[in-house]
Amino acid sequence: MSRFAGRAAIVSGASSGIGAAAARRLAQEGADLVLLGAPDDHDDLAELESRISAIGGRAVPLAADVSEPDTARAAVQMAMKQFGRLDYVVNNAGIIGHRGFFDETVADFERMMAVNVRGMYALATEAAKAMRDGGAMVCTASVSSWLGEEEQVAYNTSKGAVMMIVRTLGLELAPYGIRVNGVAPGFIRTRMSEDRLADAAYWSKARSRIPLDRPGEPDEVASVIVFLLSDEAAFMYGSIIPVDGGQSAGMRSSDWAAVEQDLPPRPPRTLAR
Amino acid sequence: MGGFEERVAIVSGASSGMGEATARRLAREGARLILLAAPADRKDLGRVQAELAGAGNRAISIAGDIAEPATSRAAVQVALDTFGRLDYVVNNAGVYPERELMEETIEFYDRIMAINVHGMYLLSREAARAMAAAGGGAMVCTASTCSFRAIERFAAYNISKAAVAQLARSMAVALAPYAIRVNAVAPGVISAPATDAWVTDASIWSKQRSRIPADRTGRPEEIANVNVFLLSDEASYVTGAVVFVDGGESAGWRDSDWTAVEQVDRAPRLRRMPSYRVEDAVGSGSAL
Repeated sequence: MSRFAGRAAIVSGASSGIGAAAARRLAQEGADLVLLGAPDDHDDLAELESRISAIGGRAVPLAADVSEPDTARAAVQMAMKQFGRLDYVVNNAGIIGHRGFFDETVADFERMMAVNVRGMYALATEAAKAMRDGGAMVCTASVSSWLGEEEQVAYNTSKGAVMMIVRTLGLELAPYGIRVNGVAPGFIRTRMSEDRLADAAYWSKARSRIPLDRPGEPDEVASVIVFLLSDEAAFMYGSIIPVDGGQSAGMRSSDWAAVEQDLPPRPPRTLAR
Repeated sequence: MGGFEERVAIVSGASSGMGEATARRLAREGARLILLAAPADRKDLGRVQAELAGAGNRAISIAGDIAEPATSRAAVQVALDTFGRLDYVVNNAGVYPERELMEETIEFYDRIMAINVHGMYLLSREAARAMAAAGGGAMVCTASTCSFRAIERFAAYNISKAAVAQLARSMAVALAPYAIRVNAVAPGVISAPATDAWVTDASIWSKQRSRIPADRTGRPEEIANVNVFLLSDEASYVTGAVVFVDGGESAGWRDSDWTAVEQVDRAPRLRRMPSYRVEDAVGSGSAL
C-alpha cells in the first residue's frame, strides 16, 4: 500500500510507543515524515529515522519541547523546506503522571497541560496554516478524556481538553478541507504503561476492566490513526474512536479465577455448535 | 484492507444505501455474502445480488422480515451450509419513519423497535453462536447520531437507535471472551431517498447544513469504508466503540458564512488558507 506516497506528515511524540508505530506505518505507506520528539529523545528519533531510511522512507528528526510554540513552527518549517508540503499531522505527544490529588502540585498540573494541551494546540494551528490543499490530523486523546481514573487528575483534565480540541478543530478546520479526528487509546503497551503492566497487583485489577483481557499494542492504535488520516474516513470530522479493547464500553464480570491468579489472558471461549 | 478473502459475511438491509455499499465493498475485498433485506425490497435485493454475482462474487440473497427469528436462523444456516463458515455480520437493517409523537401509536413504536432493535438482537445472537463455535469474528451495527440526541418527529426511531448503541456495547462485552469484536457506526445525514428529499427542500436543507461542519451529506460508501475497517484486523483492539461518521454533526456546529447557507448554494462552503511562507514561521515571535 502506498496511499500516502508524495505526502508529508508531522508525527509528534514519535520517539516511542504509539507515535513511533504511527510513523513507521505512515513511512511504509509512502509518507515523508517530520519526527518530533522530546529534547532528551535524540537517540530514539535517530534510531527510528534509520529504520525508516532502511525501508526507503524519508524522515527528518526534531527533538524539542512541544509545549513551546517555536517547536511547532520549526516542525512545520522542516516539512515545508524538506518536502515542500504538509498534508497530515499525528498530534500525539503527551506525558502522564500518577500522583494523589494532594501530592500533585500546581507545577505538575501546568506541565501536564503545557505538553498535552498547549503543545497540541500550537502544533495544530501552525500546521493547519501550512495545509493549504487540505489534509487530515489525528489527535491522541484517551479513555481518560471521558472516564476519570484515580491519582491522575492533571492527566485526565488534559485529555478532557484534548477531546474538545478534536471536536472544535473538527468543525473549525472543516471549511479548509482539513479533517481533524481523534483516537482514545486505553491500556496500550508503551513506556508510559510498562511499570503498571509489570505490577501484578495493579494489572490483575486493570485487566478486569478490559473486555479483551489484554493490553493493546502500539501498532493496533497506529492502524486506526492511519485509517482516520486516509480518504477512507472522508466523512469523519471531530470524531474520536476508542481503541481500548472495550474498556469504555463496559466490563466483564466472569472468569474471576484467572484474573485473581494473574494468569495470562483468558483464552477465547468457544461454543459447541 | 485485506483479510476478507474467502471469509463470509451476513449483511442485513443490503438492498440499498449503506447496507448495499457495505456489501459491495466487502465483495470487492473478496468476502462471500449473505444479503438480507425486507420482503418489500425483494426487487432491489435481487438487483444487488445479480450485479455482485455478475462481477464474479459469491452472494446469496434472502428476503425476510428481520423481526422474525426464522429469518436470522435461515441466514446463518445458509451461510454455514453454502460457505461452511461465518465470520462477519453487518447489522444494518433499519427503518426511520417520521411521525409526531402524539400521533405515534404503540403499534408504530412496536414495529420500529421490532425491526431496529429486536431484529438486530436476533440476528446477532444467532450469528454469534456460529462465530463463537468457529473461533471468533466481528460485527458492526448501524447506530445513529440519534443514538445520543433526539430529533423532532422521530421519537420511536431515536429510542431504537439509543438501544442499538447499548446493544453494540453489551455484545462487545459479552462476546469478547469468544474473540468476537462488536462495534457500531453512528451515521449522520447520509444520502438516501428519504434524506435526499430534505436536501432538495431549501427550507429544510438550509437549516440542516448549518449543523453539519462538512456542509454536505455523506455518501453510503463513506459509511461502508468505516464498517469494513471496523470488521478488519486493522481494528483488532477496537471493540464496543460507537464511531461517529457524520461530517462533524455531533462535534459541534459552524457559525459563519451564513450568506451561502441562506442562498441554499449546494456547494459546501470551503475556504483556503492564505499562502504559507516558511520565513514567517521562523522566529516570528508572538503569533501564538
